[in-house]
Amino acid sequence: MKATYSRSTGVCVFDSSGGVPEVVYAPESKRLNPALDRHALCIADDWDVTECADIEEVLQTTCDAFYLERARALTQICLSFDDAELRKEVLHDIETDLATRVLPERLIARLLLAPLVDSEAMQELAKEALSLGFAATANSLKRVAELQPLLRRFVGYWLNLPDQLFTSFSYARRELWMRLVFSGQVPKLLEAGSSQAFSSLFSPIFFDEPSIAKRKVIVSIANELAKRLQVGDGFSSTALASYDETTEDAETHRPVSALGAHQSALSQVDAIVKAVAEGKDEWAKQIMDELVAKQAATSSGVKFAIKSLCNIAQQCAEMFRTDFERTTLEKAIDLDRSDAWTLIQFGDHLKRGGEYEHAEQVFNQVIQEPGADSLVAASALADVYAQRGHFETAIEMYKSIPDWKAIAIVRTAIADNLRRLGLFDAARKAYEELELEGLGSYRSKIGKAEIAKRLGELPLAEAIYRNVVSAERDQQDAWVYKLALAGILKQQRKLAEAFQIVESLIEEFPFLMEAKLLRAAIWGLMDRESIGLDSLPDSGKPRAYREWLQQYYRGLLLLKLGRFEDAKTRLVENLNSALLTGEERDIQRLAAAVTFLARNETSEASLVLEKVVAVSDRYVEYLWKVLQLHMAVAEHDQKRKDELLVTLKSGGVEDVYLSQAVKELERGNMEQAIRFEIKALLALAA
Amino acid sequence: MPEANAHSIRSYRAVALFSGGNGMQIANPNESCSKCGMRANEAVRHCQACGFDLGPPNVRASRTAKEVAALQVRYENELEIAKKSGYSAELDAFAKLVAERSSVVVSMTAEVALQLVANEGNLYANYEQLVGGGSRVPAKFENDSHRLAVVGSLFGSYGEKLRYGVLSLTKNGLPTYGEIFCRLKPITIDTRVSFLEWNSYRFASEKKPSATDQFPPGYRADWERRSVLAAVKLGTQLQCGQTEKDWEGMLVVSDGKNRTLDDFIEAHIYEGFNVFSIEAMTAAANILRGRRTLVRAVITKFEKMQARS
Repeated sequence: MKATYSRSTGVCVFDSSGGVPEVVYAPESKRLNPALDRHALCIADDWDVTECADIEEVLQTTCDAFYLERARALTQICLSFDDAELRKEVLHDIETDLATRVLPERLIARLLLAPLVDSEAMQELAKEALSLGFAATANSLKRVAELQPLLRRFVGYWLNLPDQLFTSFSYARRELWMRLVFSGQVPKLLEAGSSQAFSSLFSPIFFDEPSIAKRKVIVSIANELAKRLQVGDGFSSTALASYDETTEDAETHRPVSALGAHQSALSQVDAIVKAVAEGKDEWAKQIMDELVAKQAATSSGVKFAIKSLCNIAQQCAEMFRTDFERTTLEKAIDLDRSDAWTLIQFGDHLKRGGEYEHAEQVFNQVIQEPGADSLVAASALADVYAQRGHFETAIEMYKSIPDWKAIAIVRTAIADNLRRLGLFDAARKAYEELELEGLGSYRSKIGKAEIAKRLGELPLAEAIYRNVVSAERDQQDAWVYKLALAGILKQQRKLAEAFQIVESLIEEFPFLMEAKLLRAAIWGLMDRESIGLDSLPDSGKPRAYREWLQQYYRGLLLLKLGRFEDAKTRLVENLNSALLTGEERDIQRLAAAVTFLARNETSEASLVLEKVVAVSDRYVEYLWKVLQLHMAVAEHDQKRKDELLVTLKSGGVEDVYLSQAVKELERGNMEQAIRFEIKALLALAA
Repeated sequence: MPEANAHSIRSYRAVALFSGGNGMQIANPNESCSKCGMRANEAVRHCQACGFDLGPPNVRASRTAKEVAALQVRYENELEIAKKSGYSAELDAFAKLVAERSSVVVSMTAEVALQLVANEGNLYANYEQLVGGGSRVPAKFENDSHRLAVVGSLFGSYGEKLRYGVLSLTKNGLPTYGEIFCRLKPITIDTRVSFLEWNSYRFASEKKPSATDQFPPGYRADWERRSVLAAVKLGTQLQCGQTEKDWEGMLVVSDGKNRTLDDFIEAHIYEGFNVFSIEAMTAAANILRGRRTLVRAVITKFEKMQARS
């Protein structure tokens, strides 16, 4: 049956059995007299039409829309209240609605009407809600705040879609936007991991559009948006003029000193990176265009423009904004298609994004050129094989480089691949030979530290890293080593020092995402998972190499908070789509298994655990067995339990969390066991 | 003095007959377009021949010569009665008070008021670009038969354009229609509001039982003549020695429970209004405990917006 309902009044109208329109106030299922109650029906701008099976469904649909609108509007106005007592009361009302009448996902989707002017205020309100014990409200508001950068970027692209795409619609761009918002699909669209995923979510929203021609246009809009979101396509400067941002004063054209120009370029690079971090891509592009135009104004300045762009791209990669990284690198390539370093950086970007064939093509292009760059390109090409798990091919590739035996970095890379193959003795020997020949480097030391780590010799690994960190003078390399050291400290529960290191790194490199991830994991290990989550931006599904860590830590923190469904999204649904090495996939599988075990879904956990292949990291292997013990206990398989206990107690890894988990499992205390298993996973990856 | 004031009420009728408040052009009483001279359709706002803005149809309907004359006759009768009964000073003062102080108050539920105060663009960047400032309803809904049926037959096809309120000397409206009273700024409604002596439900039942019956003249007024309509309606209730406080209570009568017992002069506002049309937002008395936070939140937000603008 067809019905009409109002979101703001909760009134619905439908044909009764006698064909006379029936008017009902849905929250109280109370019939209204259309003539007598005309005062109650004064709002006319928010009516919608629905098709329902029966009257109950009409009433339910109306109530859902009514309470959702109320919660949405209350949230909005609550942001502006100065009175803490009133805020508390309103948050209480919202929490009650979320507990009884409104699905949090729907509220989140409705609050994404447009980018917030002040997402900090939403974040603050979320914190306040949490401190008052309104967890559902806090989580919803926090999610809205977290999605702002993605929403801002999406809205930027939406508003800059060409007008001609909308000309065949009687309702134009804004009505289509409202349909998107009311569909509740915006969060999913923002986090779509691929262009196909985006298009398959977008088009069905307009499924009820009867015209085939218009549906085709909708598909075109979906494709255009997907393309832009995927590759960060640029826009014309005229389109940018409509973008709602304050514009900087135009640069004057008076001559500036070389130092002045350099400092100005650096500050513009910082501004661009900051804008990207906040999701203000259009604004970032505008500053970037200005910077490039200024630097490339002279023929000798092109190389500086390219350097600036590569610098921005590198920082984008560090903050896991691979889409903008690509935009920037493509712009650099446009300036000079033969610049080998740009091409190598671009190839590395492609590699991290899983576009292996394209990466190989780019590296092969550079290899054709004689000189040092082609050596780097050959190494990079071998890295592509390594990332795909083809370690033997990578080694062959390295060995095909002329005079490879005399080149320390090539031999180190070969040793690294032996290590990744799990051939620890051969790898260690290769590193030591290098050192004996005087060709040793920090990298060969790090290689040995990584072997020690995998064998569970964490103090040794720590000592090596400490040594390297104290000796390394190159700032860029130093942060990589410091992060690794912090990871090892984390795994050994030396949390205070690990925290201090990541904090100092974040202070030095504010956009260094891996440091933020590590800090969030440390918060989780300190049982302050809410703070950990607060500190962790959510940029949606992982699209590139290493981005899986973001969802991994986020998922574990959510799991620790008991938000199983949210955790599942991060830890299970990303399992197949994330770009992972074999070792990383195993770790992610363990996390997925723990997610299932937390809900006692043992058959699903079993399926995931079966896929874990023979692991070379002893900690990972031990945790895998602990989870098998968990399964055995949950399934009351005494024989299997006894066997596993013998194996686990016969030695292995000395780890507080893992041994506590085993103790709890022996007692049959699954809930406590899960807590230690989650902590073991938080301690693990780095 | 009473005579002189009564005369002043009578005299501005003629001024208002052919022009709306604030200088707005409206159709002349015999309903032909003042621009092209073609016969105007009384149910539509714009001349169908030349597109000229004839003015809101409800206001035009209240300004026909027949309506104005009938109301005037009723008023003069009231004057006579008042004179004979000795309360003509009160009648005059009452009419003057209504002319100077009354406005329209719309009652609404806290949820409706919440939507009014929450849907502002200041909270969101890009808001106007994304959603526009007008209707959020897809065009396909405009002709939906259900909604047309709800707005009733009393006003014909323009009924769906009307919003309802009451004429009030205070900030209070009808508590039977919601916990929040919104008193509208005269400047935002004076050219598009008309008034009916009773509520339209009662009026339709007693004076215009079927859609084909003629609308009896003398019971409607435009903004300028609302005080005349109030004087006609309440003249017999006026007494010597009454105060403004007494009259405030007489204009809107409601027990807060039974809508059929409500008594008021009904305001018909052509097309909608938004939060910036509202002069004051107040809460009804005796709000249920579970609703108090919502009501307080809405009014606080409104007051914040008002302070900012």
